[in-house]
Amino acid sequence: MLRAERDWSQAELAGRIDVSRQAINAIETGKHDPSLSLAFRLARLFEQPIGEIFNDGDDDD
Amino acid sequence: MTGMTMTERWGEQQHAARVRQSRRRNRWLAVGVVALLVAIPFTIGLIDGLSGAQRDGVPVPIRSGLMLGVAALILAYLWRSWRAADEYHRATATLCLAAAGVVALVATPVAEMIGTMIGQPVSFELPWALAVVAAIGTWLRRQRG
Repeated sequence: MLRAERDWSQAELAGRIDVSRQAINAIETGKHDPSLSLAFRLARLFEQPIGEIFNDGDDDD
Repeated sequence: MTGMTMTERWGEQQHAARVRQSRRRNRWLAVGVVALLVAIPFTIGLIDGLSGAQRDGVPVPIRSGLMLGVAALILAYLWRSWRAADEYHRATATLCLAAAGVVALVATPVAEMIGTMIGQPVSFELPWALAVVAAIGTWLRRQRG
């Protein structure tokens, strides 16, 4: 997990992208699909393409 | 370089500030509601008691004013909370309100129909209570996932 690789807590990541810790938890556990704007914020923070961070489970093609 | 320094854990500091702000909002709501519903009637009663005035409870205009004050306070609280909330909390609030709305929409005519069938009017509080239960149930379901 990208957050764990950086040794960040959920609160640390939440603070860096200006959302609540509950939002990070919900995204990580698959309870909430982030908006495109939040996905871009995460991609910029982790310096990775959105497709590398989020997976819809349909990567056969 | 902008000259601005960032500590290693600046995200946690940002998050802590966000939590502090939310707690401050909750505290102001609690203080406001207690002041309007307890402190002001208590003061009126105390003044009446000291001056020996005979009055049956808080006068209606003051009571109405207090209730309007509480309503305004709660509306302001909801507005501020909505503005401060992130997309996850807004989605949760929207889902809960939608569940309450749908249940209220369906339960009201159904309750009326049942009332007509059994020949006894069903209290309007029943659909209202069901709507509240639906909102709380949706919130719990979202918390547990």
